[in-house]
Amino acid sequence: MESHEEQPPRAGFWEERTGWTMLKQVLFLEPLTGGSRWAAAFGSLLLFAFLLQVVTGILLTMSYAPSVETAWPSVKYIQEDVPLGSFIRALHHWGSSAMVLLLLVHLIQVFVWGAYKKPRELTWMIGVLLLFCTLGLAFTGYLLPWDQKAYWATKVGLGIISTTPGIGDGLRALLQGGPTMGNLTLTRFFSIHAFLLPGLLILLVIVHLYLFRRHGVTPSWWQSAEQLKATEEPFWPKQLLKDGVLALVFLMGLGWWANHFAAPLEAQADPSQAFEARPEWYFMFLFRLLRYFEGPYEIVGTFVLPALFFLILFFWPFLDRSPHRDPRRRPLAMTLLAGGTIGLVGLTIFAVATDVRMKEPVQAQAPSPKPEPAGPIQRADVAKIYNGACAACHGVDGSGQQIRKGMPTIPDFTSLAWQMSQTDLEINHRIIDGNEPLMPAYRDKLSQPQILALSVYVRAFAVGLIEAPPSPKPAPPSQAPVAAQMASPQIYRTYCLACHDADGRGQTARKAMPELPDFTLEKWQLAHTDPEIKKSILQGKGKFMLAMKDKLSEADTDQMVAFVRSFRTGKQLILVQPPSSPTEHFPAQPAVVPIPKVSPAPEPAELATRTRAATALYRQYCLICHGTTGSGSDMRAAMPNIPDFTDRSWQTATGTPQLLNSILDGKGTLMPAFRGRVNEDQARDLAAYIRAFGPPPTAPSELPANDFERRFRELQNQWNELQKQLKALPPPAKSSRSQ
Amino acid sequence: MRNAKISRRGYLSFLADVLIAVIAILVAIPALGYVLTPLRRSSRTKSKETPFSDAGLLADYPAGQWRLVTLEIVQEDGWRKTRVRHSVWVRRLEASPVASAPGEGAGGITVLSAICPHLGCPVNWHPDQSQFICPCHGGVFSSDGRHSSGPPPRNMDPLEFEIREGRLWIRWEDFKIGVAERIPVTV
Repeated sequence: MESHEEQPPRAGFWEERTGWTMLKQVLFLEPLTGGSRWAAAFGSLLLFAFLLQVVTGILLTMSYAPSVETAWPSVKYIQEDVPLGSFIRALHHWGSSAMVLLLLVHLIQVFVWGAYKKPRELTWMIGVLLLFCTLGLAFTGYLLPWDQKAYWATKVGLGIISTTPGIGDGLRALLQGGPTMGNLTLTRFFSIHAFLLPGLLILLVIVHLYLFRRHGVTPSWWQSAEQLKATEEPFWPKQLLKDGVLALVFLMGLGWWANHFAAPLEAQADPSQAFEARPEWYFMFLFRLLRYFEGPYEIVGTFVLPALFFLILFFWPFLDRSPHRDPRRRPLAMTLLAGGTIGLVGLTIFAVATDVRMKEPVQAQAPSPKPEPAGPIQRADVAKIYNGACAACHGVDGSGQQIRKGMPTIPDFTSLAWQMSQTDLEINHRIIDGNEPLMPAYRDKLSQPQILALSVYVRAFAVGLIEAPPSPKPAPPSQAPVAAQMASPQIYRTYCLACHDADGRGQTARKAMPELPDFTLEKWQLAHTDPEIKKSILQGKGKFMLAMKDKLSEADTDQMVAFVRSFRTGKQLILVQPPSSPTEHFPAQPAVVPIPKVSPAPEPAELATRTRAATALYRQYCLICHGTTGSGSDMRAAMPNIPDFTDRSWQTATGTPQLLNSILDGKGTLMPAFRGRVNEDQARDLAAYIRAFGPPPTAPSELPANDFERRFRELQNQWNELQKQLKALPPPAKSSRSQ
Repeated sequence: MRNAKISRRGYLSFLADVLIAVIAILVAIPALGYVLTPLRRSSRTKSKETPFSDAGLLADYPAGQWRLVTLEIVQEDGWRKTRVRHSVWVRRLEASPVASAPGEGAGGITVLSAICPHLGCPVNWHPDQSQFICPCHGGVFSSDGRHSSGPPPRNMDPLEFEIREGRLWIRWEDFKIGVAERIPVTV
């Protein structure tokens, strides 16, 4: 063995004790016939990718907890709270895809070089086993976040495995850890993914490398024996340099990618929610393939073909007995390679491109124009927050119907009428402040941007197509999910007021709905019988009136019929909800949960109280005409002089004393005076609320990318403005607070 | 020829070494950044003060006796909030509910952490001997929590408390063990 050593051998302290120079010789100075090659670097690149997965994987296991309750929250924690957590996770996630790609490249390279021929058959076969290990790692790792995608993809995968003839069910039970998929599956998969397969893989790599070194690198077919000898050089430094360059490029590329694209995390696994399962991209070809095999032929797709493919791959060195390594002399092998590669790649591309999902997972459609003009305003990450924090009560579709029995006053977000009775600020406030004791306050549970985003999200339920599995509408109306506990004014306010108005006259909407009745007209009242009115409420009427039979029970409807009747006096005006005395936000309770120190004037509580009062007042007295955004657009046809609160020039032109004046003493012929119904302090709070509708002080410098961004930022500005305004006001006198 | 080869190889080998070093550093930086998170200043100072926990009605504490009270605290443990229980010793000297300054037995109420400042074992009160004794290494404290004999380096640690409308509220705190100075644990 030639030894080109750079430094004189340090036959000193270390050499005597470790003999390291010999190690260096063996490991680094192996002669490569034909010289160093770029093509030979892909094997070590693959190894490097694997090592990177090991490093990032170990880091992830420092924060990950494999059990059904803790898996998803811990992954979310890594993603959102751990410094560099999302980056490391992204490296690991995309790194696995990269490994599959590099694997293919290495396989093709080895195949083309004919490096599987005698005496290297065993090296190849170990390589195929390594392929199995890698795919196994990908499959098991996929489950670990325990999100919807993970759960359902694994469920399908295990189903495929169970089609293996004979041992299929046993195999599935073994992997599942029990009769059904659950906690034991997760713990097993974690052990397989983090311990078993990596250990096996490392062992196989050692054998693979040993065999590779034993036979030496496969000589290039285009060099004669003399050429090979002449250009021989050691592994280090040139081959190592090539390996290193590729590794560096790979590292930078993956790092950039991981920085740019976060690893996805769907909603937490929920076996009860329908979800369109999809495997990762490298299994999509199989996903597609299975479409072509139905019924008794399914097993062809799930077992026969894959098994055949792997058997051929595994035993290939013994199937291809031609002694030539030159690819030009192996037309059959090359054809098969080309065909196989193109087939797999093509099928994968085809599968991904034609993947039509029946339901978009947790993404809403653009609501049709009402109440707000808006394009698609959902974002999958907000959906995650919603599903984690809200869906338990409000339902994934926003209807809240699954718990309405126990919580009758829960709003139905899909109800247009509910949406139209709320300003964005009110929704935001409700999330922050809760509605004790039914709805918890999220002030401490979610960040402000998250809450703002949720407020925007709630809006889009209006034409709710958010991943709503067609829930069976309860047939007998007595099971209709609305509480009879709602007082008539409350029902009216929630479901009818938007169109029929506070006074029953329906003036607001008549321009758009000419057929809208005026409840105060004696003529109308006499012309319609009770059963007719009831039918209109339940079944809807004409083009615009919605059927309420899903929202109101018979008893409710009877109640509402009577309520409609009561408008005939022409004097009924629905604004009787007293500014709700807020239940204490911080009730004294045994300190199981930390209670913030009770300081003399808890600022957040007071602000919250006033915000709550202001939103309630606005909703009852102002919203009908001035609208949920304050633009007054709904009423402008009927009231041409109604101001647009969102107009900057109006805001700057109107001083606060003027606002107070208008509220307390009315304005023009159409705006009533509210003195007597609101006191001075309340009027001031309302004025602050109105200010908050205004556009932000500085015009946004760039157009937000999409509708969600725009609305998010609007709401953020509004909310900040409101809080600022309220804070600037002198605190209200004691009496008003206790109303 | 050989000389030229060596010098070129010398350059290349240097380059190869540098390359490997660069790759190793690029991988190590985010890895270490991730691992060393608990040491970072921001996460240290972010550990908020534990809030006060309700320890029950003051009137329920018999006067003149040491009583072991269990406090429940909600702790933020990464992605979950866990309920942790800690035991503290509480003594009310007179019938008056007036709180004295949190301190060593200045009449009124004394609250002591049950954690021995030597190595962290829970300390027991022995009424027959009128002293606190730590079962691990025999540290002994007087009935006021003052260190009297044994390895502990300081007195038992008093805890902050408040009286709110007749109820005792105690703030749990962890102190560094094995040192003479009383230092709250931050890392």
